[in-house]
Amino acid sequence: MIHVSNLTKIFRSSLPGDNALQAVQRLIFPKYKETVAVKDVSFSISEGEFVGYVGPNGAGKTTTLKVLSGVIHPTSGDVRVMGHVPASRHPAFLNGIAFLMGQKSQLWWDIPAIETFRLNKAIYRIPQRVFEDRLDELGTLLRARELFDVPVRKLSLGQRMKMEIIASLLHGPKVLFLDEPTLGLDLFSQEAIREFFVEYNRVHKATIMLTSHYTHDLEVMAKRIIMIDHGSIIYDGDKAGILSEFSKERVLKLKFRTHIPPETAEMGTLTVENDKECQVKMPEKDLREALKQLSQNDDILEISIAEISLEYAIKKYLTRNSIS
Amino acid sequence: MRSKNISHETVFLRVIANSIKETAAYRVNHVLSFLVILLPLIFTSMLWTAVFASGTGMMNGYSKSTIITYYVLCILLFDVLYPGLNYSVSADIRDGKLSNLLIKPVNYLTYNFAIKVGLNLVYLLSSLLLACIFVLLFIKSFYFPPAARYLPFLLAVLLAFMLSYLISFSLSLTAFWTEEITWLQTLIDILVPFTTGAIIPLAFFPKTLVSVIYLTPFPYIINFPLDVYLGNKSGGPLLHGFLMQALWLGALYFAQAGLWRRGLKRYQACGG
Repeated sequence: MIHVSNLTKIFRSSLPGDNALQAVQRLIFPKYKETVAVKDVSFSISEGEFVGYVGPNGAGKTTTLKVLSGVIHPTSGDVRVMGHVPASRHPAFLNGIAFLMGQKSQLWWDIPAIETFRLNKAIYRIPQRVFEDRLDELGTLLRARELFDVPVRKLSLGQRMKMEIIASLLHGPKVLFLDEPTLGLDLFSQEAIREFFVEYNRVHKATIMLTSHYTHDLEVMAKRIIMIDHGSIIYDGDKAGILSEFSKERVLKLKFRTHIPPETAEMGTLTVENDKECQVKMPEKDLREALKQLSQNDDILEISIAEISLEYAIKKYLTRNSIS
Repeated sequence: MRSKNISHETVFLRVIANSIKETAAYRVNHVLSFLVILLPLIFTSMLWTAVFASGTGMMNGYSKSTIITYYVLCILLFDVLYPGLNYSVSADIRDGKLSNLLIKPVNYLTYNFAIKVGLNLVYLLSSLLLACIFVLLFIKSFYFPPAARYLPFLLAVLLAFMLSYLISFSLSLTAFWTEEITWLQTLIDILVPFTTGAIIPLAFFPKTLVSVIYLTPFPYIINFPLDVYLGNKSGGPLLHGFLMQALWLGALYFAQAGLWRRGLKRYQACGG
């Protein structure tokens, strides 16, 4: 469904001068700064996959999605989505995709969202019945039906996001690019949207690529994780794979009656939370010895072994990668 | 193929409708903008009445009545026909809002044209309507042509509107290459009022200068439609004018298509 091989995107921007003289000089002889946003990236996504595309700010996530949706031209490399070259903007391609940009609104600002929906109905040639059904379904699911007739500028950030989602999905796209779809939403809406996309993926066999800074989004929705940093892919595999890389580590959460004893620092990496509580990270093989030691301490109040979270694993993966 | 055409029409109409609704949200502003054109209307009719009071019956082919009519129509149509930079286009490109349209099967040129049509319809129905009433009531020397001339006039205005749109659209595509485009607006503001005949009818200029100006599309935006209204162009020259409007439309269409294609390759979809 999505094939990317050796994709590179270099942005070129002209440099303004430091002073007036230089500014005039640069106007005639421009100097450019090149920024490599994505560097020799390759991956393939089959129909129906739900992929979490992860990386820190400026890693190249959104740039990749922009290339995949045909918004920007790649500098080099071969990109195919549903068999089409995205940048050619073939109608069959455009009718089959959706690109939900959390930070860029497609809604008409001063009029109700329903007007944007009606325009999209005309653009994508959605039959009246299908249009009504989808509006009904999406509106109910996102608990947003009463917002359709409110001028967009009067909506809150989260309410507007719901309208964006509805506008993006009315034409029933087969390939979805979701850039921060839960940004600014309350917990109930986040939950509803996660469930919705999981269901959409399952029922319609839709291929979905998601970026999100909420690890919980990835935990619930994505089955596969592609991690990108400094424009290059550093991990591509299923979610369990990242976790298992770090499953040889354990985190002990400890609470003491009076103070944290000094020997905890020798067990592993110590993170102090306050004068009575701390966390100790250690290799799995050292766990038994540590527990034995702690059980002999009269001051101990609570011991719990925390699971390695996806968030922790991703963070760990990224730091390890940027050091090496 | 047929169903495709029908659908495109409804997209076009939908965008016009949305644009009207959005513009109409600022109703008061449109009524107020009537006052902006009211003063020039009064001023120019007073000025030319004074000029002709000193005796002369005709001036470069214009009588008192036709010159006042020329300026009145010019003031009324100036906002609609002026090919200034299209800031919604350059902002879409610069701020990356264009992305939301690039992912849809829509033609940006016609989409944006529909927005402009919507805007102008609101203008026509608010300030322009008020201005027309004012003209009918207070400008006694306003000239009305024979009935047969209204249709050619409307056609000339329509073609001029499209011509002006294509010029401003093409110029605004410069935003793909440089963020700094205000100099372009300054250049337009220097050249366009003169070459379109908005400051003074082109007939008042030296012959050689006029023949140079007529090599550009600008006279066909204001001077030509007004000449059609006043009957200064008929028969061969009238047809020639329409032909030039059509030729420029074709040339500019190809120009913007080329700029658009090249520009898209440079588009960075900034922000988010």
